[in-house]
Amino acid sequence: MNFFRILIKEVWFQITCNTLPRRMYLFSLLFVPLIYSFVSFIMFQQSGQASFLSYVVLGSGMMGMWSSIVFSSSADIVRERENRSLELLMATPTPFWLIMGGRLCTNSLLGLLSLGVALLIVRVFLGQPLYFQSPGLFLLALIATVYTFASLSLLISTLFALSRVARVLQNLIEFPLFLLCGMLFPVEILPSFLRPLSWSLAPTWALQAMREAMTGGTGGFWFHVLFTVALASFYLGLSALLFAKIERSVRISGTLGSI
Amino acid sequence: MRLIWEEALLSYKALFSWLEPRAFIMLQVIQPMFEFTFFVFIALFFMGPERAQFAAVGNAFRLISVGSIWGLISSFRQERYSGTLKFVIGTPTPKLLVFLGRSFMHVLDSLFAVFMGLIYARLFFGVDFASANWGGLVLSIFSVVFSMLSFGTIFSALGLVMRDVNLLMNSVYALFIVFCGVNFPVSYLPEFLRPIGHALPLTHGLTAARALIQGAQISSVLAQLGLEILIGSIYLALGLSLFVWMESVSRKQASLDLY
Amino acid sequence: MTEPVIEVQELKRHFLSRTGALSTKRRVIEALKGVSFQVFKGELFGYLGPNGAGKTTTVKILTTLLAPSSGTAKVLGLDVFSQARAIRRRINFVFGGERGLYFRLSGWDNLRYFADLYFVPPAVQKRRIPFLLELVGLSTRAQDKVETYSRGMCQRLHIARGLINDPEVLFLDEPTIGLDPVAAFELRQVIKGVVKEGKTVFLTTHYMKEAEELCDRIAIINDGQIVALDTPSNLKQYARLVPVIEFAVEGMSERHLAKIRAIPEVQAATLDDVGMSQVLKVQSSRGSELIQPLMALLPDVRFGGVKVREPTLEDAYIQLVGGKV
Repeated sequence: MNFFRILIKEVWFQITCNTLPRRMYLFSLLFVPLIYSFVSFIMFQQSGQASFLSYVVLGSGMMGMWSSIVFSSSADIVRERENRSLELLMATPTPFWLIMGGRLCTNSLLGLLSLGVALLIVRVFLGQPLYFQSPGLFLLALIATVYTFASLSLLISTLFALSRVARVLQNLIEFPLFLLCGMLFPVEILPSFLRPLSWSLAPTWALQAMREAMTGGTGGFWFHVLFTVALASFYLGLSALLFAKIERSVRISGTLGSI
Repeated sequence: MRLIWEEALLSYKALFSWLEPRAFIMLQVIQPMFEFTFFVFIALFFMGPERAQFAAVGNAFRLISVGSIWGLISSFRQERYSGTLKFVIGTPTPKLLVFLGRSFMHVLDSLFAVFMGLIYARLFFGVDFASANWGGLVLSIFSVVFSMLSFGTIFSALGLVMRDVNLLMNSVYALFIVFCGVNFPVSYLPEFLRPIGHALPLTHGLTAARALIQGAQISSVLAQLGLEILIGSIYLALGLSLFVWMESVSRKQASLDLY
Repeated sequence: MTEPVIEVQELKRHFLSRTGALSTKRRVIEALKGVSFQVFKGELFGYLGPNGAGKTTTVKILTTLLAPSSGTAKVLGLDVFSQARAIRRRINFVFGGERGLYFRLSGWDNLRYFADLYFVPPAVQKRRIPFLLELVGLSTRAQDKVETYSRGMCQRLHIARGLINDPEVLFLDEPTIGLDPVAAFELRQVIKGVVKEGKTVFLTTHYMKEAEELCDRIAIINDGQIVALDTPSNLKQYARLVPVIEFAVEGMSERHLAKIRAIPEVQAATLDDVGMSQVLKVQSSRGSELIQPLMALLPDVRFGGVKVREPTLEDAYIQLVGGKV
């Protein structure tokens, strides 16, 4: 009955409180794709490979999305705790996972704006032609990507809430993901020992799928989409377990993030 | 002289008390290294191995900005928050001396960063230092450190009165990534944007450094080094006057919440 | 006898704390050492005790935020641990302090947000939110962002939030702390009004006057245990037989206080700083007989005025809590 109402409420809340009013968030969301699309475009011009344009557009868009998520959602639960409203939320009859889940998903959706900026810059300001080989498949890949980032940010925010050690890493998770997920270059050019790491990160596959839909690549599209959804669902499952742990942690040991 | 030494010791202690060693290492070493690696791989992908090395040297030098700019802004803001700024300003000692002492730690910090960066460039990206002109290289490093610190004074002054310093910082970093010939030569930029790069610190020193690594004579890069130092001096003058101006305004009007 | 609204039996709660940042040594802190009491419908039940006595811990357990270590706690006949969700719909709580509201939202939006989380239907919200804002006196500032509110206003908004789901039981944890006397007075009027409507209120405080003024019954808790539970007038009986001597003094220290406490006929003694001088209160069955001997015992202390008076709840409290406040 109230499920959707709560969900919409949380979207509204997240937009009103945690994201748009914060200038740093807007920077991550809008400026990062601007900078990186520009920088990577200049480098792209040297490559002489037209298909590489997909890296410029998708890469800078995803960088903005991830950047904004790191800045905002990853600390959502921690922020509630610091605001001393965590207990108030937990004491309401609405399930805690629904409240936070709604907020965390909002960021992933907002992240699409980054992609929009990247597309705008490349198409309009840099005057490059943009072809989407299979627009339908691209849309599918896009949905899978939003799902992927949502589940990853859920996982990270729960980890931050539970562990003080993890929280120190908040500044550090931005660039490693840029590097390992192959945003502005294929993961194949990374040293081989890093590849398992790349493969265990769902965004890697999501990006692959999107690139293929755009440039009509190798035909591994369905595999990539399915793999990203599977990995993302795994993250989601882990998050669900951790959410339960958060509630228990608060109620039984009386503290949060004491690890 | 004694005062400068004492200031240096003080900022050393201050630096280590609010940044516990673990966080220090994280922020100063690991995070920039990831960025470094990321950019080099982008360059590798789009432009090939030679340009990758170009970017490697560029990023090693860009690491100077972390200590020189962010470090400087932070320590001044720290002063303000701990309320000691008014006492420092209130003493009869010339501000320049105070400032020199304070910067000492940041100089060391930046030197450490750039040497680490160059070693990293050598070990992992095969930048060849065989025929390097070490004397000249060290000179170029010092010139960049000087101009970066000077550039930093402007932002330290601004940072004292701004709320959202993080935003300011990230914008400055963006400047370096795009305009200073860090990841690609300035000549790759559209013509109307090149002057920006030439007016910023790092650009000229970096050009000199790259030549010196190849084994050039100091005499041939003198112009570049000279420009770097000149630019640095201009920024230093600007920054210090900004401090002086802010001090007088706040004394007259008590409107800036400086003290 | 009606069913109790809150029922607590042998409630215990301990916390593990680690000493030092790196060591794994653990200390067990016993916050509640076996607390039992009952609260009935329509009562304004007070929980009085010094800081660290276990008041907030008890409230957290009763509001389902914290699990008991052992013992039972039931609210509205439901167990606080296993039936938490059902309880949450029917109760609410207010903690003292400014935090816990969303700064970027207006007062109205804050209330709306929590109303949704408490499943209050939109039609009801339309009526209730303005009513509550009127009740706490925030109608004119409702559209302003909470970051512009003063501390007192934040507290009042918290009360409105606490009533947003029309709870059957309201828990108030030190609600007037940090408020100026006028704001505190107004808040107490609101609390009295709430009880008149038939709600049960559980109030914790360390202000004796407040407890005396508001509560039907008071439990005095110290160091994790209830040391007394009764109506305010009965509690005063404990100290009734023991008059209180008040001296205005100067130059008195802990050393002197210890000497006084060592006297067998002295039940309790406290020393308060009032401005430039101090007030020494001694409770003793010997009453005014002790005045001369006491003054003789402490030759290096300057004595000003003396008076002997009837004990108040505060004195009973001091005695029960052991004069160590």
